[in-house]
Amino acid sequence: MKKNNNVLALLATAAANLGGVTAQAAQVAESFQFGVRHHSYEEGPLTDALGGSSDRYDINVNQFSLLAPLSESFELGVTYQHEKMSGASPWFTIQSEDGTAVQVMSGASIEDERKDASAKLRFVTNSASYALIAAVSDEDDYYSDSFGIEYSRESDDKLDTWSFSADFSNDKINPVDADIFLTRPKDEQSKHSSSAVVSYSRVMSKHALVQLSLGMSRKSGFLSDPYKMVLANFELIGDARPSSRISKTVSARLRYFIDSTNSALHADYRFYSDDWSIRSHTFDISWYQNLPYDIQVVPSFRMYSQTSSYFYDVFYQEARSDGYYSTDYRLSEYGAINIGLKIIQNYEQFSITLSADKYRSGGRLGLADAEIENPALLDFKLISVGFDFRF
Amino acid sequence: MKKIVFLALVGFFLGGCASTVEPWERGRFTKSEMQFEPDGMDAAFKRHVYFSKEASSGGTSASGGGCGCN
Repeated sequence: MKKNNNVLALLATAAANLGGVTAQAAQVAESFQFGVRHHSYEEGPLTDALGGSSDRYDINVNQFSLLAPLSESFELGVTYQHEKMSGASPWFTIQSEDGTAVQVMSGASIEDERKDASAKLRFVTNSASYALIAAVSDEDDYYSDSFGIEYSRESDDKLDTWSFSADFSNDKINPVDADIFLTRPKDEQSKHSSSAVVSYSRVMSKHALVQLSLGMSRKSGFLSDPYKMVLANFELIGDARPSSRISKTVSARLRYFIDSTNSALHADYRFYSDDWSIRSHTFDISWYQNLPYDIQVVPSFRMYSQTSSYFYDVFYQEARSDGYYSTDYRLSEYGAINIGLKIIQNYEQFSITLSADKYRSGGRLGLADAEIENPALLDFKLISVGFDFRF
Repeated sequence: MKKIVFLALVGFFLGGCASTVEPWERGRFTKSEMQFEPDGMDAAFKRHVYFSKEASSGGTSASGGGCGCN
């Protein structure tokens, strides 16, 4: 009898584990899940900048998520995010007398809000899942709606999972104060984006899970930043970028559980390249340490490095024949390091999360080796607090 | 040519490591910390921040809609 009980227990464990490893592929959530996050994002000031304000963006974000199992086969997830931001924004760069670059900031503090909502309906069968996603994002000067699909299939032994996702978005851009600033387009501009990702994940051993992904994205339309300007040939002109951008990504993710320390290692890498000549490497490592009393501590380290776009310059000495100009620090060569720490307290039906991140960037951080560092490179602090409730 | 070599290496790596992990040996993968994204809300928000502040985006999921932040 005891032997039979052991066999039954083994089978029960096996059945439970069959679902667990494939929770992302072919299983509906077991309960309703409601999550709330508040994020406080604060960019460091640009003390050497010229202009009305050296204070950059402070953004407060409230984020809500609800995951509802509708039946044994259907699941609905909805999210809502509200952002409120204020601060000055980098406008253009000038060359100082000693040859260094100086950032000119927008004259006054900018106030803006963004609302973002999405819904995802998922249908699950024994070994596959299908999802439809719709999302909108709304700001004073920007509106985006997008539509996406996801498909995921497991192998019979549930060790391998293939996933495919694709989405399409249409954006409308109406820059504010276009009648005051002649560099901003007066008419509504549009942008179209599409992207697709193929992923393969495999259970490698009792402790290791890996995923490899290939992605591609295409954007077309108005891809310039309407609020940024460029001083070229002693003339202030609008930021001007190509009307098409195609990018590719290769990513790998490893999850490895270490029994002796009761912890899990997350190691992620992404290579990105696009036809604006930007190449980037992103390394992300996290350590999930389980502690007594259902506490989890997660230190993390992220290193990012990118090359500059082919038309970027920190300031332009000569006119470009193709007419493309941008001094946007996001198109410059730089590297960035983010250090984070998250603490999670788990209870039976809910959990509380508290995290802090510190991000700093520089022309020669990581793998970057910029000849002249863009003066608007960004540092920020991020504090997040939230809870998740299951019922 | 580099892509072919890369894909061949990936195939070799995955094929070489192919092994059977029995269902009762998969308990570790039920743990939240062994999911690719244990905290989906946090992951989505971080993606949005990096999308806004860096030139690169995408990688493990489709990109979604745009915003005025980039």
